[in-house]
Amino acid sequence: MNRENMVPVREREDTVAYLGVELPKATNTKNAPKKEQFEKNYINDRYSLEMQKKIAISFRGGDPILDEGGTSLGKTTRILKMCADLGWEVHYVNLNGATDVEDLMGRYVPNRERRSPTDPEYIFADGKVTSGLRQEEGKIKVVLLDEYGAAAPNIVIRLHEVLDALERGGEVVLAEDASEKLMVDKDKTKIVALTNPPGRGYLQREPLDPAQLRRWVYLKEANELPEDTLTHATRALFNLEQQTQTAPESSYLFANERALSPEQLKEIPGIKEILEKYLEFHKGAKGLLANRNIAKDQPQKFSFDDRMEPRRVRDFIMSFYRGDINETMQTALRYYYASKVLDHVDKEQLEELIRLVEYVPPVGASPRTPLEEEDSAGQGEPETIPGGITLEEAERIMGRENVLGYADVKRIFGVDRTDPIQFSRADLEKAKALGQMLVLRTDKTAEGKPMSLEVMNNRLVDKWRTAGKGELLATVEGWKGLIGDAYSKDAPRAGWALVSKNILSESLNKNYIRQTDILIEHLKKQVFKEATLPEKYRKAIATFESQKAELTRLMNDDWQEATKRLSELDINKLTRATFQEAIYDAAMYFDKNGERLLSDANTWTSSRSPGGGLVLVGRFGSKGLDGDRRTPRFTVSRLGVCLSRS
Amino acid sequence: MPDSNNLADFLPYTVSQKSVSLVIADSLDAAIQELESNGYRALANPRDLETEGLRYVLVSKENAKEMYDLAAQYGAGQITMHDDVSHQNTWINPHYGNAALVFVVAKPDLESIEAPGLAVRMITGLAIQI
Repeated sequence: MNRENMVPVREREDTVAYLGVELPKATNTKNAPKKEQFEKNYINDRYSLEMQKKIAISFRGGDPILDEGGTSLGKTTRILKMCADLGWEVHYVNLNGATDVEDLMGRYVPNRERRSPTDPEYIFADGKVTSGLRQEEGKIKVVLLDEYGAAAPNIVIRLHEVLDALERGGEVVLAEDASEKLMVDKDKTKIVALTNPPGRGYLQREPLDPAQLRRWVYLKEANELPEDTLTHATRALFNLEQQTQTAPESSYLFANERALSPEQLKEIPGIKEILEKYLEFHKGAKGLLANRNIAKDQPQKFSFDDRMEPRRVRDFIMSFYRGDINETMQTALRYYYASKVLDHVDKEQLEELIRLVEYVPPVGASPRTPLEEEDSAGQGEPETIPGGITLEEAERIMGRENVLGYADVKRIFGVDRTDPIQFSRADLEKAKALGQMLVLRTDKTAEGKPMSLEVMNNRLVDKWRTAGKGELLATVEGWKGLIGDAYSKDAPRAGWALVSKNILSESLNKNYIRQTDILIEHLKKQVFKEATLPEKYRKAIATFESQKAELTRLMNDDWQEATKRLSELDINKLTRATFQEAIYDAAMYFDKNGERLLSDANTWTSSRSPGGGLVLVGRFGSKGLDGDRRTPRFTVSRLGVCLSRS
Repeated sequence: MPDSNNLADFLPYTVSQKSVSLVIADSLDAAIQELESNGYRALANPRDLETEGLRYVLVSKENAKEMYDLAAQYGAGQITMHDDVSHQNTWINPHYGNAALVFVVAKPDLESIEAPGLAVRMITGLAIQI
């Protein structure tokens, strides 16, 4: 991703983008709110930025927005500020106390310009909404319906006719004006309704009929600002913080330069498979709602509509798909489904279902679209690989010393590898922040033999001794005794891995099961803090949690069985290196940078020694890497674990 | 220390506010006299809000909806008003520096104004009862 695009509110000559979501400026800005009103006073805190992004997504799609939230969230000002950015004209209508449909849609009034008996005695005058619907050259208009929840039923019904006409891209029949047909265009007129939650002390707020709510993209905001937003916004008001808060890269959303055509839509790799999962999700989400498992405390009832939600999801994908159907689909579902619930437990329930809406391509299939293939053909740029990251970019993000890549594998072990980096930019930025390195592991030598400890040692021992760099293994005989045949047979798993360079400090002096707990905490609270925990980890964690009590019992009563089962657990295979990998990683890093990792501690691997016990590796000194085996209940101050994931 | 029930003490605080201020008065005549003696003038034309100046509006049941709508938008940076003469929307960009807008409402009228849902006290900022 181009870093210059990573500006929370990025203004260009004819567009403004909100966390990446770009909207066109109007060319006729005569009646738009004045930018000066907001330039020095509006605080673009993260909460507001996120809301502006959500609103921008709906504006792009031409969907009407119903934004429900407490009074102090700045809902009205936010819309006015965006319109000032964009030069869009605002037609504000406050529905509280309004009972007259004609006020909104227009009525006949005496003709003040009447000069002769042939001039009409009465003329039709637009109402507040009609004036927002009329198209004018160069203008984009927003009809802002404030206090929508207080609207009289007759007004709501009339407004829904307007929404339906906009959705169809057709015409609004002005019954108030001898059935004049007013052409409407959702690219030229945007509808936003704002409301406080029903009940909860708000006057005149009755819940809306869920059947009517389906016409809207319903955004459920909190009743109060989140604590950190309140703090930032207040400090920014006093000039103690930047007026515009930075936003994590993961919060940006970028659209295609042009929306996909229906033909291109059906060509997206995995679209059929992921649609099946989406339909399962939709039914599941409806079930959660129907059974009151979610949103049970929200006074405003709503539905997940069978027609509207799939159409919105389709439009979202057409607009925002950029090569990763899983990410695009899941983002759409968060927006159109999870945004409607407020409680974090409810959100998590939906989130669990969203994570399952995933297309897993068969091995060897390219997840890139035909569009991308065409776009990148013959441009002579660095090779773009499926994770979206080139080696060059990876080195730029993590620092060259922290990337042990193709050239290092070739130089150190004489093996040519071309594995694409499967990690995203966000993964690497997070890894860098967490003190990890990116390692390309090879499981075979150039001759096709296993990249065993024996091969690694033979390859390096003379070179290191000659250079005065010491040994790899302390000692060869010791390692042979510890791991038996694996010394010459077993190899690292091939591919890229992100590995902690240092022991996770909180894992020191913990038994093996507690270490696993700590690895899981680290994944959830650090590695995937602002992202979705991938399915493979969630499943592995669930398995571990379901067996933990039994494993704990076995750890004390039958350590051999505990050792066997712990070494076979997916969560340990996914988050711990094997002993071969730990040695391979440390050797690569030392050879490249001259610095010994694990110099004063041991990492507990996922490997089991033939004699029982789980293998630990470390204390990397000039005499080489030491190793040992321990029962799972063992603890000592310099034994911990490094995260290793691929 | 300013008297919390003294209008003259209250009025300086209404200047440069991004919300409409509210005076709830037992006697409208006395309140208006005090406002005018402090330089406040009745808002003749909403367009005047685009310039510096101290203004007040008497709020009654008759204009309650219009004034409620105005107050709801006042701090948001722009006010859309529907002109009853031209029957078109007009837009006002309020000037906040060295300007003030005060609603004056008779205490007995307040309840009947708010009864249909026009919670004037909720959308106004500084308030005083005199």
